[in-house]
Amino acid sequence: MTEETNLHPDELLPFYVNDTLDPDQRTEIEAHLHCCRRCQDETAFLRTLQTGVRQSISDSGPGDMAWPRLQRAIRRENNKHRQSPRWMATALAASLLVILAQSALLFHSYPEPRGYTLSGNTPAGQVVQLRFAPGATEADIRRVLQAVDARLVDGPGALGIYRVRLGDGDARSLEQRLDWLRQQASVISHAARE
Amino acid sequence: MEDPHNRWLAQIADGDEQAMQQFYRAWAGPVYQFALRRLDEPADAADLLHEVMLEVWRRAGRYEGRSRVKTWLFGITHHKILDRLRQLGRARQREDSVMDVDMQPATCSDTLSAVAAAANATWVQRCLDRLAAIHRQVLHLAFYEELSCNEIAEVLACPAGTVKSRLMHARNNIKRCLQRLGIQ
Repeated sequence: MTEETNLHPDELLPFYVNDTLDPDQRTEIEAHLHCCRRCQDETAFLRTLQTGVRQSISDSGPGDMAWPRLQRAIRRENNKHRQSPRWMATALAASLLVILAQSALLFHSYPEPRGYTLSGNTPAGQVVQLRFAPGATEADIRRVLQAVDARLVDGPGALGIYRVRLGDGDARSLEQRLDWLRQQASVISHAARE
Repeated sequence: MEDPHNRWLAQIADGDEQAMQQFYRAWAGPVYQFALRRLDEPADAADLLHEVMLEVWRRAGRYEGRSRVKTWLFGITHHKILDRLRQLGRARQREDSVMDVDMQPATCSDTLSAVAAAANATWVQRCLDRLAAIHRQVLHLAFYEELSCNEIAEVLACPAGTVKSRLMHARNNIKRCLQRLGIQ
Protein backbone atom coordinates (compact mmCIF):
# COMPACT_ATOMS: atom_id res chain seq x y z
CA MET A 1 0.00 0.00 0.00
CA THR A 2 2.81 2.42 0.83
CA GLU A 3 4.38 1.87 -2.55
CA GLU A 4 1.02 2.42 -4.22
CA THR A 5 0.44 5.58 -2.18
CA ASN A 6 3.71 7.03 -3.37
CA LEU A 7 2.38 6.85 -6.94
CA HIS A 8 -0.70 8.92 -6.15
CA PRO A 9 -0.62 12.72 -5.79
CA ASP A 10 -2.58 12.63 -2.52
CA GLU A 11 -0.98 15.76 -1.13
CA LEU A 12 -1.94 17.81 -4.15
CA LEU A 13 -5.55 16.68 -4.54
CA PRO A 14 -7.00 19.21 -2.03
CA PHE A 15 -5.35 22.00 -4.02
CA TYR A 16 -6.63 20.54 -7.26
CA VAL A 17 -10.12 20.64 -5.74
CA ASN A 18 -9.78 24.24 -4.53
CA ASP A 19 -8.25 25.19 -7.89
CA THR A 20 -5.01 26.72 -6.59
CA LEU A 21 -2.49 24.52 -8.39
CA ASP A 22 -0.30 26.04 -11.05
CA PRO A 23 -1.21 25.06 -14.63
CA ASP A 24 1.53 22.43 -15.00
CA GLN A 25 0.57 20.69 -11.78
CA ARG A 26 -3.08 20.80 -12.75
CA THR A 27 -2.34 19.18 -16.10
CA GLU A 28 -0.36 16.39 -14.41
CA ILE A 29 -3.13 15.73 -11.91
CA GLU A 30 -5.80 15.61 -14.59
CA ALA A 31 -3.72 13.17 -16.61
CA HIS A 32 -3.39 10.97 -13.52
CA LEU A 33 -7.09 11.21 -12.67
CA HIS A 34 -7.98 10.13 -16.17
CA CYS A 35 -6.81 6.61 -15.38
CA CYS A 36 -6.79 6.28 -11.60
CA ARG A 37 -10.05 5.24 -10.01
CA ARG A 38 -8.63 5.53 -6.52
CA CYS A 39 -7.77 9.21 -6.97
CA GLN A 40 -11.06 9.87 -8.74
CA ASP A 41 -12.86 8.61 -5.63
CA GLU A 42 -10.58 10.64 -3.37
CA THR A 43 -11.26 13.76 -5.43
CA ALA A 44 -14.99 13.14 -5.21
CA PHE A 45 -14.69 12.85 -1.45
CA LEU A 46 -12.70 16.06 -1.20
CA ARG A 47 -15.25 17.95 -3.29
CA THR A 48 -18.04 16.75 -1.04
CA LEU A 49 -15.96 17.65 2.02
CA GLN A 50 -15.37 21.10 0.55
CA THR A 51 -19.14 21.58 0.26
CA GLY A 52 -19.54 20.39 3.82
CA VAL A 53 -16.90 22.80 5.13
CA ARG A 54 -18.58 25.71 3.35
CA GLN A 55 -21.99 24.77 4.69
CA SER A 56 -20.63 24.43 8.21
CA ILE A 57 -19.86 28.14 8.44
CA SER A 58 -21.65 29.61 11.40
CA ASP A 59 -24.48 32.07 10.76
CA SER A 60 -23.28 34.15 13.67
CA GLY A 61 -21.26 37.25 13.03
CA PRO A 62 -19.37 39.78 15.08
CA GLY A 63 -22.53 41.81 15.71
CA ASP A 64 -23.74 45.26 14.70
CA MET A 65 -21.79 47.04 17.41
CA ALA A 66 -18.43 45.74 16.22
CA TRP A 67 -17.71 48.61 13.80
CA PRO A 68 -18.72 51.44 16.19
CA ARG A 69 -16.50 49.86 18.83
CA LEU A 70 -13.57 49.72 16.40
CA GLN A 71 -14.24 53.28 15.26
CA ARG A 72 -14.01 54.51 18.86
CA ALA A 73 -10.75 52.63 19.37
CA ILE A 74 -9.28 54.11 16.18
CA ARG A 75 -10.21 57.63 17.25
CA ARG A 76 -8.70 57.05 20.69
CA GLU A 77 -5.48 55.96 18.97
CA ASN A 78 -5.47 59.11 16.86
CA ASN A 79 -6.06 61.34 19.88
CA LYS A 80 -3.26 59.63 21.77
CA HIS A 81 -0.79 60.40 18.98
CA ARG A 82 -1.78 64.07 18.86
CA GLN A 83 -1.23 64.70 22.56
CA SER A 84 2.16 66.04 23.64
CA PRO A 85 4.03 63.92 26.13
CA ARG A 86 3.82 65.27 29.66
CA TRP A 87 7.57 65.48 30.00
CA MET A 88 7.70 67.87 27.03
CA ALA A 89 5.27 70.27 28.74
CA THR A 90 7.44 70.17 31.86
CA ALA A 91 10.64 70.87 29.89
CA LEU A 92 9.07 73.87 28.10
CA ALA A 93 7.70 75.36 31.28
CA ALA A 94 11.10 75.11 33.01
CA SER A 95 13.01 77.23 30.43
CA LEU A 96 11.83 80.63 28.97
CA LEU A 97 14.58 80.52 26.31
CA VAL A 98 13.34 77.10 25.14
CA ILE A 99 9.73 78.36 24.96
CA LEU A 100 10.78 81.39 22.88
CA ALA A 101 12.88 79.22 20.56
CA GLN A 102 9.94 76.84 20.04
CA SER A 103 7.63 79.77 19.18
CA ALA A 104 10.12 81.11 16.64
CA LEU A 105 10.36 77.70 15.00
CA LEU A 106 6.59 77.48 14.57
CA PHE A 107 6.53 80.62 12.37
CA HIS A 108 9.71 79.86 10.41
CA SER A 109 8.93 78.64 6.88
CA TYR A 110 12.33 77.10 6.08
CA PRO A 111 13.66 75.63 9.29
CA GLU A 112 17.37 75.18 9.82
CA PRO A 113 19.10 73.28 12.55
CA ARG A 114 19.65 75.56 15.59
CA GLY A 115 22.78 73.93 16.79
CA TYR A 116 21.14 72.50 19.88
CA THR A 117 18.55 69.89 20.56
CA LEU A 118 16.15 69.53 23.43
CA SER A 119 17.07 66.32 25.16
CA GLY A 120 14.50 63.70 24.34
CA ASN A 121 12.49 65.97 21.99
CA THR A 122 12.39 63.37 19.25
CA PRO A 123 13.40 59.85 20.20
CA ALA A 124 16.78 59.08 18.60
CA GLY A 125 16.36 57.15 15.34
CA GLN A 126 12.60 57.72 15.15
CA VAL A 127 11.30 56.31 11.87
CA VAL A 128 8.43 57.86 9.94
CA GLN A 129 6.68 56.85 6.74
CA LEU A 130 6.60 59.12 3.71
CA ARG A 131 5.11 58.96 0.27
CA PHE A 132 6.42 61.43 -2.28
CA ALA A 133 4.19 63.40 -4.64
CA PRO A 134 4.28 62.14 -8.24
CA GLY A 135 5.94 65.31 -9.56
CA ALA A 136 8.60 65.59 -6.87
CA THR A 137 12.15 65.86 -8.21
CA GLU A 138 15.28 64.45 -6.61
CA ALA A 139 16.30 67.99 -5.66
CA ASP A 140 12.93 68.59 -3.96
CA ILE A 141 13.15 65.36 -2.01
CA ARG A 142 16.73 66.08 -0.99
CA ARG A 143 15.82 69.58 0.20
CA VAL A 144 12.86 68.38 2.24
CA LEU A 145 14.72 65.50 3.88
CA GLN A 146 17.70 67.66 4.74
CA ALA A 147 15.39 70.28 6.23
CA VAL A 148 14.15 67.83 8.86
CA ASP A 149 17.46 65.96 9.22
CA ALA A 150 16.12 62.74 7.74
CA ARG A 151 17.65 59.76 5.95
CA LEU A 152 16.00 57.17 3.75
CA VAL A 153 16.26 53.72 5.33
CA ASP A 154 13.86 51.53 3.34
CA GLY A 155 11.43 51.50 0.50
CA PRO A 156 9.66 51.90 -1.70
CA GLY A 157 7.06 49.33 -0.72
CA ALA A 158 4.33 48.26 -3.12
CA LEU A 159 2.20 51.20 -1.91
CA GLY A 160 5.02 53.67 -2.54
CA ILE A 161 5.82 54.10 1.15
CA TYR A 162 9.40 55.00 2.14
CA ARG A 163 10.73 54.63 5.66
CA VAL A 164 12.77 57.61 6.80
CA ARG A 165 14.85 57.92 9.97
CA LEU A 166 14.90 61.30 11.73
CA GLY A 167 18.18 62.46 13.18
CA ASP A 168 18.68 64.71 16.19
CA GLY A 169 20.01 67.63 14.17
CA ASP A 170 16.60 69.32 14.23
CA ALA A 171 15.30 70.87 17.43
CA ARG A 172 11.64 70.44 16.65
CA SER A 173 9.44 67.66 17.99
CA LEU A 174 8.42 64.68 15.90
CA GLU A 175 4.91 66.04 15.43
CA GLN A 176 6.24 69.46 14.42
CA ARG A 177 8.49 67.88 11.80
CA LEU A 178 5.64 65.75 10.52
CA ASP A 179 3.37 68.81 10.33
CA TRP A 180 6.02 70.67 8.38
CA LEU A 181 6.49 67.74 6.01
CA ARG A 182 2.75 67.59 5.37
CA GLN A 183 2.80 71.27 4.45
CA GLN A 184 5.27 70.50 1.64
CA ALA A 185 2.40 69.15 -0.48
CA SER A 186 4.24 69.50 -3.79
CA VAL A 187 6.85 67.04 -2.53
CA ILE A 188 5.21 64.97 0.24
CA SER A 189 1.79 63.33 -0.25
CA HIS A 190 1.82 61.31 2.98
CA ALA A 191 3.69 61.64 6.27
CA ALA A 192 2.96 59.59 9.36
CA ARG A 193 4.77 58.17 12.30
CA GLU A 194 5.45 54.47 12.10
CA MET B 1 -7.58 47.41 -12.63
CA GLU B 2 -6.28 48.34 -9.19
CA ASP B 3 -7.23 45.96 -6.44
CA PRO B 4 -9.62 47.90 -4.16
CA HIS B 5 -8.20 46.15 -1.10
CA ASN B 6 -4.72 47.48 -1.88
CA ARG B 7 -6.18 50.94 -2.45
CA TRP B 8 -8.02 50.83 0.88
CA LEU B 9 -4.82 49.87 2.71
CA ALA B 10 -3.00 52.81 1.14
CA GLN B 11 -5.83 55.10 2.22
CA ILE B 12 -5.92 53.58 5.70
CA ALA B 13 -2.18 54.28 5.96
CA ASP B 14 -3.13 57.92 5.36
CA GLY B 15 -5.58 57.76 8.22
CA ASP B 16 -8.71 57.45 6.06
CA GLU B 17 -11.46 56.20 8.38
CA GLN B 18 -13.91 55.66 5.53
CA ALA B 19 -11.45 53.35 3.81
CA MET B 20 -11.04 51.50 7.11
CA GLN B 21 -14.80 51.01 7.28
CA GLN B 22 -14.88 49.63 3.74
CA PHE B 23 -11.98 47.31 4.53
CA TYR B 24 -13.76 46.21 7.71
CA ARG B 25 -17.00 45.48 5.83
CA ALA B 26 -15.10 43.37 3.30
CA TRP B 27 -13.04 41.36 5.76
CA ALA B 28 -14.83 41.24 9.12
CA GLY B 29 -16.80 38.12 8.21
CA PRO B 30 -13.86 36.02 6.92
CA VAL B 31 -11.60 37.04 9.82
CA TYR B 32 -14.35 36.33 12.35
CA GLN B 33 -15.09 32.89 10.86
CA PHE B 34 -11.39 31.99 10.77
CA ALA B 35 -11.01 33.01 14.41
CA LEU B 36 -14.15 31.11 15.39
CA ARG B 37 -12.78 27.89 13.85
CA ARG B 38 -9.91 27.99 16.30
CA LEU B 39 -11.33 29.77 19.34
CA ASP B 40 -14.80 28.20 19.34
CA GLU B 41 -16.36 30.99 21.39
CA PRO B 42 -18.18 33.76 19.44
CA ALA B 43 -17.24 36.36 22.08
CA ASP B 44 -13.54 35.45 21.79
CA ALA B 45 -13.76 35.55 18.01
CA ALA B 46 -15.42 38.98 18.11
CA ASP B 47 -12.71 40.33 20.44
CA LEU B 48 -10.04 38.90 18.19
CA LEU B 49 -11.62 40.52 15.15
CA HIS B 50 -11.42 43.86 16.95
CA GLU B 51 -7.72 43.36 17.74
CA VAL B 52 -6.93 42.31 14.18
CA MET B 53 -8.67 45.32 12.64
CA LEU B 54 -6.95 47.67 15.07
CA GLU B 55 -3.67 46.12 14.00
CA VAL B 56 -4.61 46.75 10.36
CA TRP B 57 -5.20 50.41 11.23
CA ARG B 58 -1.75 50.62 12.80
CA ARG B 59 0.17 48.59 10.21
CA ALA B 60 -1.54 49.33 6.89
CA GLY B 61 1.47 51.32 5.77
CA ARG B 62 3.70 48.29 6.20
CA TYR B 63 1.80 46.12 3.71
CA GLU B 64 4.22 45.79 0.83
CA GLY B 65 2.13 43.76 -1.62
CA ARG B 66 4.42 40.71 -1.57
CA SER B 67 1.40 38.53 -0.82
CA ARG B 68 -2.33 38.88 -1.30
CA VAL B 69 -4.18 41.06 1.18
CA LYS B 70 -6.07 37.97 2.34
CA THR B 71 -2.85 36.09 3.14
CA TRP B 72 -1.38 39.11 4.96
CA LEU B 73 -4.56 39.64 6.94
CA PHE B 74 -4.98 35.99 7.88
CA GLY B 75 -1.34 35.87 8.95
CA ILE B 76 -2.04 38.68 11.40
CA THR B 77 -5.18 36.87 12.54
CA HIS B 78 -3.32 33.62 13.12
CA HIS B 79 -0.72 35.30 15.31
CA LYS B 80 -3.43 37.04 17.29
CA ILE B 81 -5.17 33.69 17.74
CA LEU B 82 -2.00 32.13 19.14
CA ASP B 83 -1.55 35.07 21.52
CA ARG B 84 -5.13 34.72 22.67
CA LEU B 85 -4.83 30.98 23.19
CA ARG B 86 -1.70 31.52 25.28
CA GLN B 87 -3.53 34.11 27.39
CA LEU B 88 -6.43 31.74 27.87
CA GLY B 89 -4.07 28.90 28.74
CA ARG B 90 -5.57 26.91 25.91
CA ALA B 91 -2.53 26.61 23.66
CA ARG B 92 -2.48 22.86 23.96
CA GLN B 93 -5.97 22.04 25.08
CA ARG B 94 -7.69 21.79 21.72
CA GLU B 95 -4.67 20.20 20.10
CA ASP B 96 -4.96 17.40 22.60
CA SER B 97 -8.61 16.82 21.90
CA VAL B 98 -7.95 14.82 18.77
CA MET B 99 -10.22 12.04 17.78
CA ASP B 100 -8.47 8.84 16.85
CA VAL B 101 -5.54 9.89 14.73
CA ASP B 102 -5.32 7.58 11.81
CA MET B 103 -1.91 7.31 10.27
CA GLN B 104 -3.02 4.79 7.66
CA PRO B 105 -4.28 6.03 4.36
CA ALA B 106 -7.91 5.17 3.88
CA THR B 107 -8.85 2.24 1.67
CA CYS B 108 -10.92 2.56 -1.43
CA SER B 109 -14.01 1.29 0.35
CA ASP B 110 -13.46 3.83 3.14
CA THR B 111 -13.42 6.59 0.57
CA LEU B 112 -16.52 5.44 -1.24
CA SER B 113 -18.55 5.19 1.93
CA ALA B 114 -17.16 8.51 3.11
CA VAL B 115 -18.27 10.19 -0.11
CA ALA B 116 -21.82 9.08 0.56
CA ALA B 117 -21.64 10.08 4.21
CA ALA B 118 -20.13 13.47 3.40
CA ALA B 119 -23.32 14.40 1.59
CA ASN B 120 -24.92 14.61 5.03
CA ALA B 121 -24.12 18.13 6.24
CA THR B 122 -24.94 17.29 9.85
CA TRP B 123 -22.45 14.45 9.88
CA VAL B 124 -19.76 16.62 8.30
CA GLN B 125 -20.35 19.28 10.97
CA ARG B 126 -20.19 16.68 13.72
CA CYS B 127 -16.93 15.28 12.39
CA LEU B 128 -15.45 18.77 11.93
CA ASP B 129 -16.31 19.61 15.53
CA ARG B 130 -14.40 16.56 16.70
CA LEU B 131 -11.29 17.43 14.77
CA ALA B 132 -8.27 19.00 16.43
CA ALA B 133 -8.33 22.75 15.98
CA ILE B 134 -5.17 22.79 13.87
CA HIS B 135 -6.75 20.29 11.46
CA ARG B 136 -10.05 22.16 11.33
CA GLN B 137 -8.09 25.32 10.65
CA VAL B 138 -6.29 23.97 7.56
CA LEU B 139 -9.55 22.60 6.14
CA HIS B 140 -11.08 26.04 6.58
CA LEU B 141 -8.19 27.78 4.83
CA ALA B 142 -8.11 25.27 1.96
CA PHE B 143 -11.82 24.69 1.36
CA TYR B 144 -13.52 27.84 2.57
CA GLU B 145 -10.92 30.53 1.98
CA GLU B 146 -9.45 28.63 -1.03
CA LEU B 147 -5.84 29.42 -0.27
CA SER B 148 -2.99 27.62 -2.00
CA CYS B 149 -0.59 25.41 -0.05
CA ASN B 150 2.08 28.12 0.03
CA GLU B 151 -0.43 30.74 1.16
CA ILE B 152 -1.65 28.52 4.00
CA ALA B 153 1.97 27.95 5.00
CA GLU B 154 2.53 31.71 5.05
CA VAL B 155 -0.60 32.33 7.15
CA LEU B 156 0.30 29.63 9.67
CA ALA B 157 4.03 30.40 9.55
CA CYS B 158 4.89 26.75 8.97
CA PRO B 159 6.49 24.75 6.13
CA ALA B 160 4.35 23.67 3.18
CA GLY B 161 5.07 20.07 4.14
CA THR B 162 3.38 20.66 7.50
CA VAL B 163 0.30 22.04 5.73
CA LYS B 164 0.08 18.96 3.53
CA SER B 165 0.59 16.67 6.51
CA ARG B 166 -2.16 18.36 8.55
CA LEU B 167 -4.53 18.19 5.60
CA MET B 168 -3.81 14.51 5.18
CA HIS B 169 -4.54 13.81 8.86
CA ALA B 170 -7.68 15.94 8.71
CA ARG B 171 -8.97 14.11 5.65
CA ASN B 172 -8.29 10.67 7.07
CA ASN B 173 -9.87 11.51 10.42
CA ILE B 174 -12.95 12.98 8.78
CA LYS B 175 -13.21 10.00 6.48
CA ARG B 176 -13.09 7.51 9.33
CA CYS B 177 -15.59 9.53 11.33
CA LEU B 178 -18.02 9.74 8.42
CA GLN B 179 -17.67 6.07 7.72
CA ARG B 180 -18.55 5.24 11.33
CA LEU B 181 -21.55 7.57 11.25
CA GLY B 182 -22.66 6.08 7.98
CA ILE B 183 -22.78 2.53 9.28
CA GLN B 184 -24.52 3.37 12.57
